[in-house]
Amino acid sequence: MGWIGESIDSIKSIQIRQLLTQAVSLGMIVTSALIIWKALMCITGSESPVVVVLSGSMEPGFKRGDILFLHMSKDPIRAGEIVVFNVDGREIPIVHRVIKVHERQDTGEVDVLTKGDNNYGDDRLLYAQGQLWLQRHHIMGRAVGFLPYVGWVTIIMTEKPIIKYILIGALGLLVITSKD
Amino acid sequence: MTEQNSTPVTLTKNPDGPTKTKLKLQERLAAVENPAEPRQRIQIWSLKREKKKKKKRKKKGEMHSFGYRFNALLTFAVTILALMCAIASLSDNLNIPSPSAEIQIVNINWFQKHRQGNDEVSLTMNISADLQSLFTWNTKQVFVFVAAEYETTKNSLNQISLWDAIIQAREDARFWIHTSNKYRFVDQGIYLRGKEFNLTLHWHVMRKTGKMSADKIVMSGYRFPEEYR
Repeated sequence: MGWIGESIDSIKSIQIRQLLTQAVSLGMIVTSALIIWKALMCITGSESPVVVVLSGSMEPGFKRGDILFLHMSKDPIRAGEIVVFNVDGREIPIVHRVIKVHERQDTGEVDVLTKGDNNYGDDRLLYAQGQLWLQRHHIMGRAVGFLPYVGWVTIIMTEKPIIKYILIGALGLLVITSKD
Repeated sequence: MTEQNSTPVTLTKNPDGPTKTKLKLQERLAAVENPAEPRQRIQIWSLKREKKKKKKRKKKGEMHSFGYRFNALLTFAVTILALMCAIASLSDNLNIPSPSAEIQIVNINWFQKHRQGNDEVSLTMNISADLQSLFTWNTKQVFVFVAAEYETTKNSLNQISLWDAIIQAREDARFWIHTSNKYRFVDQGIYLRGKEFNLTLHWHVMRKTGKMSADKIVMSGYRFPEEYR
């Protein structure tokens, strides 16, 4: 009970100058996060440099809740690489391994077929109706590194939004009540 | 004034509020008047500082010191974890793998032109490989697959995975398997008759920490039959 009262006291004792400082520091946090994200986008060349694995289709390599770092280079796509791709009419990108590649002689275009390591069959069932191959423009990047478990935070927050609001509220209170 | 200053002991015995404050004031005054007594001065200064500190602590509350401690501990733990991961992934560079593989085509089961106009072939292989040297203490899994690779007049590169496996333990990394192709071997077009092709054993190493890496062994000199069968 003690610190709640004190927190209220400290909120009451805020002066305009302090309020401004806090607003500025909060803005700094938000903008620096944005800067880091955009910088990562530039460096990796991928429109979403970090993705969270949502399904177990790549187990035991990638588990649900792992974070993947993507890289999109000019290098041609080859069999065995793990790519992240978007299928038309599907919102959530998929992380699977390339099993077949056909690269055109004249134009250099590629036809790619993917499959999840833990799935029985290939991904033609996941593709859009009548689509047999993925093209270059479907592919958002290839996975180059991963971080285990960290993605659970996002999964929990999207599945239980209450926790997200509680967390944001607590963080906001902490920023307001801190004096340094 | 000078009288009282000479006998402070008697006064402290009498704990009257106003007299006490009076004494303090007098003490301070005396200290200012008589700078030859640094001890007293220091005492007053430290008292002042203590009061200031107390005020500050009251203002901030205990929550902060806990938060700071927790933050420091967390930062330290994460730093150590990152350092250990970095060392573990660097230690992988010390391992120089020397894998070996051999693939034999035992039989062409059938070889036809599809209704849609693509060649399709089914074949049976003997695959033997020793990938044990790829495994270190930092290896999570090795994804190994055999791909047929060839060039046609239409495509500069065709890669078709025929068989794959996930190896998670060093003991399983030395294997021999007799298998027909796991995935359909369909060309884009009708270019397969009499075509020469490579069979390549690829492996992709996934580490517990660190970069993923890949390499391959190319085996060439395989050829499709001249006629459908």
